[in-house]
Amino acid sequence: MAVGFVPRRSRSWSRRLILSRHLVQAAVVGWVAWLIGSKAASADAASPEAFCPFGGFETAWTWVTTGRTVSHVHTSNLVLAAVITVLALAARGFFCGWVCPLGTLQEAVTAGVRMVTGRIPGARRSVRRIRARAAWWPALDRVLRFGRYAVLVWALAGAAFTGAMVFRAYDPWRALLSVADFEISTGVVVLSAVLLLSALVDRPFCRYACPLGAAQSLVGRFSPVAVQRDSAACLGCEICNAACPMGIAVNACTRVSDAACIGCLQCVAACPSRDALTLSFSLPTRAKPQPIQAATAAAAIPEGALS
Amino acid sequence: MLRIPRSASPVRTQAAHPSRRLPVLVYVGGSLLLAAGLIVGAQAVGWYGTTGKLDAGTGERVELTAASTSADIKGWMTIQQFLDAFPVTKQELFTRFAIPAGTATSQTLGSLKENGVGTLDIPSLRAWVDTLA
Repeated sequence: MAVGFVPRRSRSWSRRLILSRHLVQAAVVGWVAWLIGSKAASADAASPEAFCPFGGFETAWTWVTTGRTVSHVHTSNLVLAAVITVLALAARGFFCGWVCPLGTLQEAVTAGVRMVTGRIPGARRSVRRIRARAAWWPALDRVLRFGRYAVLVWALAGAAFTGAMVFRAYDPWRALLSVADFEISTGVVVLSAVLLLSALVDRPFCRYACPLGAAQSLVGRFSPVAVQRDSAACLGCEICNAACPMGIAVNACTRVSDAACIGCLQCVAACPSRDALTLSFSLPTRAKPQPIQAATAAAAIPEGALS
Repeated sequence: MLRIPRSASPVRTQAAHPSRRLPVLVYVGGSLLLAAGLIVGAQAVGWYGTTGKLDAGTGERVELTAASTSADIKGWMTIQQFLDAFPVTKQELFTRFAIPAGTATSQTLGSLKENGVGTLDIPSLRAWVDTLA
């Protein structure tokens, strides 16, 4: 390979990666739609809420201390919470990036709005002007990101102390699952606000308020899987930064171990250089190989070998 | 081939620990299989109950009996089912939770809170039943 040149990533590979993610997301959204429909058709059908992993985290304390679950939580929620924990350990934010239907909905809104504004010259200019003027946004974004940890603490402590799911009334996920009830609740208002905000910010709920994402990112810090950047093959184009829905500065990392990473691999798919961004597996328990010291190397060479 | 900028380092990045490239197919397929395997495993041993109306292990309908404990009380049960299973009169229940006298006993316990009828909610009902025992 010539110095100063790097191999280009195949566009069809990137397209296949994006398509496979969208297929998984579409399958999950379809399954959720079927759950909502079956619940609306039969009162005896399983509640879609039984498939929310966060319910398992909320009831964990009550379940351990009393052997009971809080209201609206079933053993399936506990199992799913355990599955999310194992997945976070094994594959970091895979659930958020590939499975979570609320994240998929937010992405769909963002993509739809971008498609519309991209085709209207006036709208495109306005978006660019707003972005240029919002120099304060990155600082505010950094502060708001702590919001999801605050929501996590509130939801878990509330469930532990009151024996009820305090977050349930505000939960946009629950509101989405109860859409067939046609009720205007606080959760519906939060869901609407989230979807409206998605027109301006990528995945606003995931970034600022999702307690499940917060729990998962805390566990995911111990995951051996992460996107790794090779600076020798990096073009410095920052396309990865623009592609990241969680606003991570990918080009500033060696290993993308940011707690916000949802493992969607959008950065990898967008990168034009084949070897700059790759998914890698690394166990922190294994020591980094030390470079051979000159003195040690000289001592290891048998006398007279160089003569 | 893409030309890298002059400012870029020609030296390959050394991560803090030795790493190995992970194929995307393994990442996605492995994660999905892991999740599915854990859920199927939990279903096989009867830990995966998605409704309180059916027993997760046997799949039989859950009914309140004289041997039921407060933990068995669920929001989908009717007031009458509750009264049949526990040594509580309708009058005592309605007085304790400020439920209007004309309320039909065919209503579910959960619907009382949802409709703002009285002060009954499942945790406080369970706590009250525990004090009666």
